[in-house]
Amino acid sequence: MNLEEIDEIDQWLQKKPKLEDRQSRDSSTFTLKERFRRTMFYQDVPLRPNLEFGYWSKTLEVWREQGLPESVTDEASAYDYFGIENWAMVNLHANPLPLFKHEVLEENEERRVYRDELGVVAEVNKHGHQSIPHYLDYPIKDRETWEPFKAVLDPAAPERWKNFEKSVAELRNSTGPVGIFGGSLVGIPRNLIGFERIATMPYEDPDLLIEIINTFGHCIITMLEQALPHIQVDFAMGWEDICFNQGPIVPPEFFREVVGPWYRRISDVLVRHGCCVYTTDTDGNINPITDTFLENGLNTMFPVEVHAGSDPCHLRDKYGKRVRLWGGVDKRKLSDSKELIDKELQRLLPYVEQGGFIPTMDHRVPADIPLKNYLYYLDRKRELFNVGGEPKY
Amino acid sequence: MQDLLEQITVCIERGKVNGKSPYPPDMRGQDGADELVSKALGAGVPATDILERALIIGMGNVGQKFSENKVFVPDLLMSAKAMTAAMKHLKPFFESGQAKHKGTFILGTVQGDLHDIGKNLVGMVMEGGGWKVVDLGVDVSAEKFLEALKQNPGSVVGLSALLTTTMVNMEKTVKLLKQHDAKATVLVGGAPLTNEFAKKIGADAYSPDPQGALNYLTDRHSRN
Repeated sequence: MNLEEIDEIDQWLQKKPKLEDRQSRDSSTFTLKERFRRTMFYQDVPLRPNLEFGYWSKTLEVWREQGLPESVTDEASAYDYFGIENWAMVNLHANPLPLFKHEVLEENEERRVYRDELGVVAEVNKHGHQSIPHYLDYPIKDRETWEPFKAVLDPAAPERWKNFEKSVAELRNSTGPVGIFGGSLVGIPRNLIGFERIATMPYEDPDLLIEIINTFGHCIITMLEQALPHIQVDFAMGWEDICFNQGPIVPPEFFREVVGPWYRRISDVLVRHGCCVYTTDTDGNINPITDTFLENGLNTMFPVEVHAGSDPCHLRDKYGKRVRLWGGVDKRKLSDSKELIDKELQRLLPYVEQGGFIPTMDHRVPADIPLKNYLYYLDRKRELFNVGGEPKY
Repeated sequence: MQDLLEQITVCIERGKVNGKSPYPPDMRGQDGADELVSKALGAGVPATDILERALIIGMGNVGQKFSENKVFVPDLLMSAKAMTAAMKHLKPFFESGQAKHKGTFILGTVQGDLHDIGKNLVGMVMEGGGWKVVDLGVDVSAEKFLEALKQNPGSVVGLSALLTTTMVNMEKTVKLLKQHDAKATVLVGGAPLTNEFAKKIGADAYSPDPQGALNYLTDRHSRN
């Protein structure tokens, strides 16, 4: 199915009767799943989904000092307390299986150095300031060191499927949106190769990088083909995390030529199984690769990090309803004043009202955002954007 | 001579490391920065001329394009590789004092923060701009920055942070450095930073990209 056909589906869905034209259905009877789907298909919706990205671990700790109940200790209890709705993911393990035993190589009071199950050597600060570890060494250095990874990317490996059936059984009748992993074609390889090496491989060793990407692509697409007949999903979400403020870590042309066709293959499989919302988690400035995403059916941008240059309003102005948005609330505004929070939400309001846009903060909530600002944000979001969820504060 | 310097400039800008390098495809089989700098030195071109009239210009061109989103991280890295290949030949001239850096740039990610990608890119561009870079690494305490400044008086200090939670450590570091030397120049950068934040903590400048930091120092240098 090509992009035009997907657009036709969208147009058909938009022609369906609007809510006010329907006689009987009470808005409260719409499930979160339906609200998610209607929002993403630009249909009228009684209450938009109230989703969020989550929190850095330090944040809840800091907020407890600012009055957050002691019982709120993790993301699930925080969502419950703040009245944030949630989605669920089918358990589809499409990443490399372990090759090594996790091993601590060095440890002192300040930091711990370890080698993880895929052979990445990293150090972490033991005092909880880190968001990601500091990587010291990577397992894939050349063709020889890549070889063992082919075996752990076998889509048929039984370990991959051990939790799948149970997960499907639990989610098949879910009233909330259900997602499935949409692949990681550059992000996970980057974690195994290292940033500087993968960035220059398209120029210096393209054949090996293409082989690696193709292997990852083959694994996810084979697994999706097998998984999707067992459950109707509402969206697919991949993970790349491959952009900085200055754009992607691989050249945009390489991304278009090599990675783009994999998104196309994946999105074709998804659409064939009734899943027309395809996104991937990529922070940073996505502008240089947005065309590639959209041309290949990856139609939803997430988390649309504003300070890095990925502005939801600009994306919608440029691409119209071809681009769906999930995220896009500038987190920096929340650490400032109520006036700036209002201004940011007012800026987004007309775009949220267009549909196809689930506004959430553009990354996890950092610890420098005061709890009172976050509560103000949630309250204003409910009022302005008409989102659901029942807060307990 | 001018022709040779121009060829070196092109190699740096386009990331042509050496003759064996397959990149860029349209320069395959041609000499790269490695061979051409060696050739220039052999022909009697002063190391300072190679640095100032070829390497810095080539790296500046790619840095500028990077800040304008015309080229991307991979291109900047290839240029940095070509620069490293060229600088290897110039090292003895710096050691003997025949060639001089524009100054020393002390660089590190502030305490509590282990991210180094942005910092490393800044280091590459500053080196390409003719600065000697003293890289203190990640999770660097204010005291360690101060110690490095004392060891390298008159240096410029660059602080990097990716986390909003560690940005506060920038303020502490700037304060300590300015207490030691009110004239010390401190630049800050990192994904969550803004110009307003830089001003608030007393830093001399903020740049959203490496070239901006280099341009700031070049402008300041030309004014003095």
